[in-house]
Amino acid sequence: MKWLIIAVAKGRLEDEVKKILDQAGLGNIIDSDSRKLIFEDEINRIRYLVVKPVDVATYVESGVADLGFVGKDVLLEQEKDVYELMDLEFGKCIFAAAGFPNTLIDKGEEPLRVATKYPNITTSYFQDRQKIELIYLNGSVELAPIVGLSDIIVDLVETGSTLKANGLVILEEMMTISARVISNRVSYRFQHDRIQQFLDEVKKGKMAYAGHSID
Amino acid sequence: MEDYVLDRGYIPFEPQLFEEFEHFAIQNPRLPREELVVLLSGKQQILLLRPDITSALMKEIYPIALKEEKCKIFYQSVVYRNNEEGIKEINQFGIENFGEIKDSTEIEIIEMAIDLLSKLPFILEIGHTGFLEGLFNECDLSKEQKNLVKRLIYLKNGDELKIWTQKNNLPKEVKCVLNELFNLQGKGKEKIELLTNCILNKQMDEAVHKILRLQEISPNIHVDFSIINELDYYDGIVFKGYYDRLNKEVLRGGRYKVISEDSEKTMDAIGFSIDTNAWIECQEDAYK
Repeated sequence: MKWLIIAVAKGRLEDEVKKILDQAGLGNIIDSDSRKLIFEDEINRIRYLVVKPVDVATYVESGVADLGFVGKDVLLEQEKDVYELMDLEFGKCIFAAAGFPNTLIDKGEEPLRVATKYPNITTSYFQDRQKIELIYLNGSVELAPIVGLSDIIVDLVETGSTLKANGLVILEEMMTISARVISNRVSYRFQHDRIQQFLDEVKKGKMAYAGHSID
Repeated sequence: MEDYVLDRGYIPFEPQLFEEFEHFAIQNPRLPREELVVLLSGKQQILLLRPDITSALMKEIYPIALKEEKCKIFYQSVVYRNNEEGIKEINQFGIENFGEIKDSTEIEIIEMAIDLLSKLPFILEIGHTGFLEGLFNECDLSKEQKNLVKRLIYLKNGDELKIWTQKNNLPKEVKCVLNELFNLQGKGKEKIELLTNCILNKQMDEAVHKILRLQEISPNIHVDFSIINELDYYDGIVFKGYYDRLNKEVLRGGRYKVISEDSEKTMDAIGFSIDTNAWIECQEDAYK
């Protein structure tokens, strides 16, 4: 049997994926404490590649990995040509426009200054609505409106505590984000039955993890 | 490849390098704009560096084909798309057949595609636009809604499609078909039964039966009624060829209608294109 190669986003998502795989009966193969990047499940012929979240879709699109576990935020930002086969419904958070209370988003002709780590998502969200001046930042975007670099920020919000600690509020909820299983387009054809079987197992694991009845 | 198609009566053709942006964008609304290579002419006209060969052929070949009533051409050319690294040049080889397209013409084209793929293990995936169009005719959807549904189908995003169908007021039968759409692929008695149960009108019936007949040509043909192309001009059978050593399709094609400049006359056509660089790379690997 051919190896099924799966890219898993390192970090927060990795812990949840491990729990789902365990519940799915696929064992606890990935050792997060190890510095290894490849883990093999000899019995089920599955090889897991643990990679940075932003690289998962690249591994899958290129065909190095057949499947991947990745956040919808990465998919929306990168627009890679991969299939989105399953919504795992965990790791939920929202994309939001945030700023000081009562900040005006629709400023008409005057451009809105937006600081973000997600330039593509931000540009397409405001495309037919409001002219923007995009300020690309790599992190700590909450700082931008405080120091006057931007009017608002666009970012992922999980609990909202960082916003609150910096005196910012959600001005507009843009979309909900969750973890997804993605597939390479060619693997989907040549390993269709294998992928389908894996998805069925993951679905059971997902249900069990969420505390629902499996049958 | 050239010898192969010359032997079958196809004549060489060189498509034009530029396309009008507006015309192309209207014809192909789902193709991401940022992939197109946009140019400004001296007359301030917005042009595209050839994004696709079939669109150029539809304009240029139509007058010739109309005069001759039948026209079989092939090309060896380049299309241009933007990607993360810059402008990408994609070498393409293709054949197009204009005029009366009979069942035998469709079979001939499918067989040619299979011949050109057959030196390596391959899958030729085949579907029919009439299935989805027929399904859309059962409900009242706006153009934007149809584009959204097509995008979700292209991404095989069953979960978001399910949520969308639940939120929108669609007939029960349409919801059932959309929920089963990604299972309408593969072979076997069960699949045929499932497909037959999903037929809601004559258009869908014709699409299903045509594809089931074409499936008999080769065991490498896989049926998939969720097949969607990024370009919107296909009208009838559509197909894509895959090698397992590549990360995307190596061949794509289908049936379409060529429309005259004044939009008054149409002509049937069918053809396919091959990503030449990827194809050559795979053939060379096979001989190593």
